[in-house]
Amino acid sequence: MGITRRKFLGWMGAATGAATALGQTANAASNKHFTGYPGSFGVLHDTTLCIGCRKCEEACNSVNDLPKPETAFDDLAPLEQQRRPDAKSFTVVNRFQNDNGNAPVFVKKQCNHCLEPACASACFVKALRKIKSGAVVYDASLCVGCRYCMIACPFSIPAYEYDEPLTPRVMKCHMCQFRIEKGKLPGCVEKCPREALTFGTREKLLKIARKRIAKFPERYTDHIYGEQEMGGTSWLYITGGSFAKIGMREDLGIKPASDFTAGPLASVPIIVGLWPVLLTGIYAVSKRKDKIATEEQEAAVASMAEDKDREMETKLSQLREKMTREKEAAVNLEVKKALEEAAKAAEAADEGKTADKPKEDK
Amino acid sequence: MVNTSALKGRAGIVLAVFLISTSICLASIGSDTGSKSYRSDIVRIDLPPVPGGEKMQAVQFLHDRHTEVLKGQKDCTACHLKKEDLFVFKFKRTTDGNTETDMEIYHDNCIGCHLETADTGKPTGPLAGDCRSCHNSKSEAKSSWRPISFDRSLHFRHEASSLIKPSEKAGKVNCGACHHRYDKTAEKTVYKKGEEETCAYCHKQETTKEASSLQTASHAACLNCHQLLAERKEDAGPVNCSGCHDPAEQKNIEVVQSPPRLMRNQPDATLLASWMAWPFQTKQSLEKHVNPVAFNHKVHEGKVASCKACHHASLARCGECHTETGAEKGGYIRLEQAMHDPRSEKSCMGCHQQAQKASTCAGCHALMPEKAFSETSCIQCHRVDKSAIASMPMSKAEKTQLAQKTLASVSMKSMMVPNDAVPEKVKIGAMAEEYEPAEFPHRQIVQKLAAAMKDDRMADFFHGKEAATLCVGCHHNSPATTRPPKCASCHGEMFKTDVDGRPGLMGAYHGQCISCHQLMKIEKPAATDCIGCHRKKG
Repeated sequence: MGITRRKFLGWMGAATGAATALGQTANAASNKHFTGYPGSFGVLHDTTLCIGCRKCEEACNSVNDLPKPETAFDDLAPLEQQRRPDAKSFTVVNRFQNDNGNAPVFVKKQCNHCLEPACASACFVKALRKIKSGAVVYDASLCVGCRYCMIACPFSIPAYEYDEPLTPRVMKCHMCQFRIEKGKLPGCVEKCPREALTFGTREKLLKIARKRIAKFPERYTDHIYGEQEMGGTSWLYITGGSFAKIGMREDLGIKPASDFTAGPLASVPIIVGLWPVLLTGIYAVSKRKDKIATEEQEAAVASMAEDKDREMETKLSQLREKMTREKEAAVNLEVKKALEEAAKAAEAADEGKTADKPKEDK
Repeated sequence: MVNTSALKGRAGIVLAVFLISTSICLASIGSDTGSKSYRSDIVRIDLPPVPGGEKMQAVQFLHDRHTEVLKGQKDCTACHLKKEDLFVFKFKRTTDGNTETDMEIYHDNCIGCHLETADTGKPTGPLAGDCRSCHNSKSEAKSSWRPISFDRSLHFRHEASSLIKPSEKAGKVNCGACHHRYDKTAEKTVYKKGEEETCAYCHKQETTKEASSLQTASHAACLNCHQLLAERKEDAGPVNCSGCHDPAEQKNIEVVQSPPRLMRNQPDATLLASWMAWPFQTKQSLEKHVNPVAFNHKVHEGKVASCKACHHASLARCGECHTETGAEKGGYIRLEQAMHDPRSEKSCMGCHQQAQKASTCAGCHALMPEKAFSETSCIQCHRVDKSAIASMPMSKAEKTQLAQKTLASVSMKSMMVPNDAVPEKVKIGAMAEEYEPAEFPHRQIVQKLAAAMKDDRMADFFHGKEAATLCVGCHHNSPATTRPPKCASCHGEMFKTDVDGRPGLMGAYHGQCISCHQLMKIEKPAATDCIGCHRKKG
């Protein structure tokens, strides 16, 4: 007996459903969500302190040996435009002028080093990784240049060396990992004259940020950007007004990017690893079923034949018995008949001779 | 027979083409208007929707644009009707009807006037059929409308004006020309001398059974009077929107410096304490109460725009509504909160904190964390000695007398550290690396701060007798002394020491100097001008 198409699809459906349900249950039951590596570093950017001097840009450029820009760093004209980091600058400072005539707000932009980075979750060769120090680092030797990270990043940070024909790299801030390892501060933090950037463990930075907000409730908006956004980032921000008005997305939600991709990506091992097993299983099950069916059929046929034989035998024996009985009865009847005739003949002879003599013969 | 589905299809295409072409037209019109300007005369005409009826977008009517164009041709009567010789500032009606009739009034009269103008060959507004020219969500201008503060200066100019006549024949003062009260029994407004109050006490945001809204009432009262005087070619106040509500034009309103006090039976000074109003006080029971505040009512009057700054709901004393434990009439705001809430501009502490935001004070004060109520000194204000209270309850005159006596005992003389005790120059070079040490003109800065505080009663009163109070402005967290610890005593090199939120030495220096300059609006040197303070090495 073969497997029908309908049946196959039915099984597949059930298998997928079970896998999905199982996955969700496991997630819910775990009752955990990643809040970053304990003791990992971050930077708190207090925009109320930033004066827009571009010293951080200069420091970043110098510690990372990036090409010198067209306009010098002490020229503040580039602040007038809304810029984003590119392949030649890992960080930029943007100026936001409010309508209400208040002092302008300066915001430094660079990789936010998400706790669960979207770029890393989109990278299928693990060229981007979140490491225990807190930095999201890039390994050019693994990168295949797909630039999925650039599409995945909600903050539009990773840039690509388009003008590098042979060995183009994805370029972004790496929190000066190489300096952190030597016990030094990230370049930008070290140079900030106003200490608008504070480097420390993320836990401590959150405490400092909360302390500042509590101490000066009128100066700060009661929100730490990056505490929850996209599941949390290692770079944190506090400001005096609305975050949306200083170019920071407020539509990101608090779920890490990997949560959105985890479902579909989790089904990859199922498809790659489990499907052969599943299909083999289905094949084996159907094979076994066929075998059992054949055996059963054979057994049934055999038992049926046996039954018939037995029945026949019974019938025959019955018939034989009947025949025997009838034969005996017929013989007996004939014997009786013959005896009776013989007796009659004897009586008739007796009546003609003497009556005593037949009596004695009896 | 006509194929209905084909007809529908064709109609759909026509509609689509129409919609696309219309949107293109509208888009091109929109791009013509260019950047948005600010206007203070945007009147939103938005009638309540008729149940089940179609609702059109509200019309943004530019009042002053109409009056400017029609100047010399038409007067207020072109749009506004009169009732008992006074204009009612509604459009072509004296009371609101229902939406349908009001809509007809707008459509007939707006379009009618536009049509009339069009007939003369002049440029005009939208005509019948141009529905979306008026009913659209695009606003040509952003609103710069600001409420006008009828402050003491403006009040005095009205009070002193010979053009505003007293309401009563025998009257000498013209208060009754504007001030009135609603007499419930007589069902009319009457003027009662000595009971004048702020308009907003009765005329609230919305019209109630007893009083029209503040907007309706003030437009009716102010504009009718201004218009009447303007017709007589007298010196009249504005009759257009921008004259009162445009921030730029508000600056042009003549200000009378230090106008005379408004007299409304208020004391010159009084004692503030909730228990002062309680009956049956004995000497013993006074012991457990807080010392009353000697409040200089007269001086405070001169520091605020109007009575309403503190007496926000009535001219009664604060404790009338804000009871000690809170009551519904006081919005459950206890007297203590009403006096000390740092966030409310109506409270003592809130208003004082607001004053500290002035550029003369902010350099030091804005850098100080918001103090919890418990951290401030009670005795600074609560300084009346209870043993001076002879008997309870005290009369108004007795209270004033005791308050004045207490106030007189406060030394209002600014104490300053003598010049020779102030270091003249300080060289800041603890971290000099890329730049030369900065030379800090210490004495010059102290003198500048002292000059900013001069003749400031609040500073004199609260800075106290300690001469070194001023030093604490920069040398924060240190006791008031002329020999405070060095900055480096508390601020170490960043991240070499434990991160506890306090800035490192570089951040502390830059923070102190830059934020003070920014807050006190000292533009030179700019925060980003490094060599303005320290020369580059090499």
